[in-house]
Amino acid sequence: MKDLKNLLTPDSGPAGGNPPLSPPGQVNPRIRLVVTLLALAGLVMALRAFHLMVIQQGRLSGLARQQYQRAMQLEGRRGPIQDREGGALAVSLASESIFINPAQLTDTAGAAWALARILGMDPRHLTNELSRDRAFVWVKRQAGPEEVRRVKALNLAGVGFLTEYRRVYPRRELAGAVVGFTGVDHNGLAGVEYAFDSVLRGTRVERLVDRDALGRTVVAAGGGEPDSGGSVRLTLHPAIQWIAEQELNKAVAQHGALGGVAVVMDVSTGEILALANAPGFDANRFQEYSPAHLGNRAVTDGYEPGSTFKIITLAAALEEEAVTPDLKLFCENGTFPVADSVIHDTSAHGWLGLEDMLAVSSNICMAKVGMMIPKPAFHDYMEAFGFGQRAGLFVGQDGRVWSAEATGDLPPPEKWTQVDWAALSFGHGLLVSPVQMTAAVNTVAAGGEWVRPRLVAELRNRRGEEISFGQVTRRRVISRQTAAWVGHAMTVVVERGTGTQAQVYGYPVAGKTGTTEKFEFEAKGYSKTRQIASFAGFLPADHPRITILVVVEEPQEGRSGGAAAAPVFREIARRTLPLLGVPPVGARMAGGRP
Amino acid sequence: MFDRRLLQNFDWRLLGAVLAICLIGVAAIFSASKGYPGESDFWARQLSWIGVGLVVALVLVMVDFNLWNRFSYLLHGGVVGVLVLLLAMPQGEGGVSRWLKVGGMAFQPSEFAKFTLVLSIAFYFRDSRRVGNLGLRRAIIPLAMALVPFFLIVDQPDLGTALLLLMIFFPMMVMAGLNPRLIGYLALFGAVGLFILFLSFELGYYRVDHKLARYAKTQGADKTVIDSLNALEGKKYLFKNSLLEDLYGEEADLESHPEVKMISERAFVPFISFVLRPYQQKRILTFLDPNKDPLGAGYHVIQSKVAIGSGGFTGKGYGNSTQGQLNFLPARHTDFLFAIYAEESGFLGVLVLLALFFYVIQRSLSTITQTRDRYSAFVVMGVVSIISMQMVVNVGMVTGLLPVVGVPLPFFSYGGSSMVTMLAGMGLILNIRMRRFLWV
Repeated sequence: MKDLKNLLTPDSGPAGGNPPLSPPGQVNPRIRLVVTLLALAGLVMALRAFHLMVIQQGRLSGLARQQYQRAMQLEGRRGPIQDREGGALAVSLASESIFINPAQLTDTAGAAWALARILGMDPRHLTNELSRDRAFVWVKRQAGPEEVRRVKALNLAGVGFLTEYRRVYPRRELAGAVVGFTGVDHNGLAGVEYAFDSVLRGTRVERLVDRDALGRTVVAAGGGEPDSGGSVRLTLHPAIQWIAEQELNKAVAQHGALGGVAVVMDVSTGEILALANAPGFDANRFQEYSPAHLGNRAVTDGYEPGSTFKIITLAAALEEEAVTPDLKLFCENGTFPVADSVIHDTSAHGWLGLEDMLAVSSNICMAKVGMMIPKPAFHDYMEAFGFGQRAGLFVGQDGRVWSAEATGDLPPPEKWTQVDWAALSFGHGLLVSPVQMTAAVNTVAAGGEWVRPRLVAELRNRRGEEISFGQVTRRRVISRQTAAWVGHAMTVVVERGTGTQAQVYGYPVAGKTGTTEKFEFEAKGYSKTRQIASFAGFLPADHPRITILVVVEEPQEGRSGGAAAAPVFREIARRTLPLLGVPPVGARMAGGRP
Repeated sequence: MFDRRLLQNFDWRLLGAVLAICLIGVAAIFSASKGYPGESDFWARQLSWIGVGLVVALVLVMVDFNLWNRFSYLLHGGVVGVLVLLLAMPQGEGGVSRWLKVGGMAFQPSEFAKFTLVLSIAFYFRDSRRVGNLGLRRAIIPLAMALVPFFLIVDQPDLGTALLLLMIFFPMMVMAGLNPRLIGYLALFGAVGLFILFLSFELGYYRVDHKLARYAKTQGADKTVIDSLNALEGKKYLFKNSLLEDLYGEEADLESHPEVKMISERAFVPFISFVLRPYQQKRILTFLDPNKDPLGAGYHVIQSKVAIGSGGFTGKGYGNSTQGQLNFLPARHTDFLFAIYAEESGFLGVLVLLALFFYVIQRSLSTITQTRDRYSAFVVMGVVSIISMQMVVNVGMVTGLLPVVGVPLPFFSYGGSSMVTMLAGMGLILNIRMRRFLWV
């Protein structure tokens, strides 16, 4: 303290002068005190900075991220579904969604009214929405391009746009049941959209999006762009699909039927050219339809094929040499007891050859034919014709099953009673899907080879590389001779049997009618009034190009397959063949193939 | 008037360090104001303020202040006069009158008051007889020099700047030889003052004002309670229980009235409300617990801490401050600029900035022992106090160690008054350093 006093008391110069505080070279301890205190304060600051920036860095960075980053799912554009010509059946269009940060609006009511007028919304409701204390309000998601253009023209502060994709089905009802539809978050919910969802879907990128204090999206940080999805090209021929749907709908309306299915298949390649479901639906507004109508019944539903199945019985019997082509059988004049049951024919017949049995569609005689084939062999033929297993529209090259298909229901032979055996011969007691039935009849058309039906022409992944899917697959089921013989018998059906309505001018037709009484589970018996009318056939009968199956469900007044389904077959065939460039008989070059 | 030899003694390094801080500041302002709506030219304006400040500093360096130090009292008196005028003038936004508008330019006279106080105190202690063993009686004149502007600035109201005035004043008084006993007394006084400050938030009385009945209604009070509140309007109670007795009756089970707590809180009038304005109370309360009001007064502190902390050791890189660019930290080009700088440049950048400040402070202080006269020594001490105290208060406030008071970081934060006065202060120090070996 003495030293301190010395330094601070006047030491030189006149009193009241302005001498130096301390002699040069010496440091005033009071100054040293101040410097020490200041240095300490500086140290505290540095330590505090160290504490915040190094020790608490993790916690505070987390807080910062919480404030400015939100995870956002960005999704790549979903790939298209196309017909065989590459025409779009389903595409994703980029559309913009409009959102608002109400805090940035200068005139909330004015903005709400202007927006409401453009977007056709209730202005009072929108005003309320925008008056709430939120940083982000969706005004309209997936707005139309014209709406977006007009809203952008308003040039309102606080209005933002976000690109989203909208799934559009430009052909509306066309092949609606085949194509299916997607939900709001672009996941396939039905049809091809569902089956090949993993191919069509773009990649999802979880991206961290920076938001500022007002909640505005500012910078998209890292994460990369999502990839667009792959594509699916179907075998469907747009014009034939349209014809099939039009004719089927016409018939369903005309007969007051519940619905129907029509399948058009290319004989040699197995390509499904048309797959019509009635009633159809517009996938753009699938929500407006009853869920019962949204399926692809040609693939997923089973029905009792009835008399159309007699083609299979006849083919199996001939191939197995259980019968010879010149065999004649007695048709019991319409009533034939089998075990504890009785089989009826619609009209009484006596002795008939195989062709005539098919032409008049005698259940009794066909039961006799069927029961000449040993049960296991008969069953094997049914399996070989593709019954009891997936038709394979959605089965990949590697055996991967992409989507469900009806396998139908084929009872095992060891469980067949005598009655079952007889009934199976004329197509009762088993369930088949329309596509299975088409493929089975096509076997006769293709000279005895079962050709796998194909719906997918080409699959491409996200990089545009082709994914090998179902190639042409065929297996011999019956000999060429047997096929030719059965095919000939089927032309007789159309020429002078139950299927005369299926005649097409200029083209020989082979076909078979079918009329099945619907099984009523409540009554545990077949209905007398509710029927399934069907017609399966191919043409031109001499050089088959297409196989067509038409199924009409519950036509009114119990119309038969010959009355309700055969005309649909005829119309589809009549309009389709010229499209495929198949010349009518009279126009063919002599001796040449069509 | 100007000796060529002086140029050889000019401390270019000190000036360089100061200009380095200024330019880092300009860069930080550029980054911080990037996210502002519209064109923001704060960085350019800051550059021009640096230019103005350098011109003022150059004048102060060249002119020997022995020629004008006798005007120190006059200058201080003038600024105090302006402060009085400011209080007399119609008040600005929110009852605040800090700004003096002259010809379209706005000044904060309180910024100048710091320097005129330094000059006056230095001029006062220029007389060696006034130095040493300062008791209360001997310190009364310099005390008055500080306390008059202090109260004027408190009344603006700008508590931060006012307290800063005292903080600048204190080291100069210590240097002048403040009696250790008086230091003790002042320390005790300060501690007691702080204790009373904290206590005064808890001490108070209960008053039934005309709005209380309406408030009680919103809290779901009975009709009888609302009626009695209307009847008791204007009445004051020292104890909560007396008020509640009048409202609910003696034997009432107060636990069954959920609104009791809310009503009594609303009726409470702390004694502090006579001393501090509501916003000041709020700031101090916020300092005590920032999380209490995260979107109000505490918002700044939390956001600033988050910004600094998320910078980490090496920072996010220039222009990449998320808290700043994304507008989480309002008015970040001014008092909270340090937070943005810390977020972008990290702990290393903070160390560089603090080292620059320490270099400037230490180099300036070293002048004290070399200076040729007492007046110069006190000026140096005063200016260094201004710089260092403001630095400590600003960094302390931004890092959440001290309450939020509007104090800019010297040479760094955006602001014309601050930049010009701080550079002028540096001009004084450079002047003194330049002439330290000269005995004229």
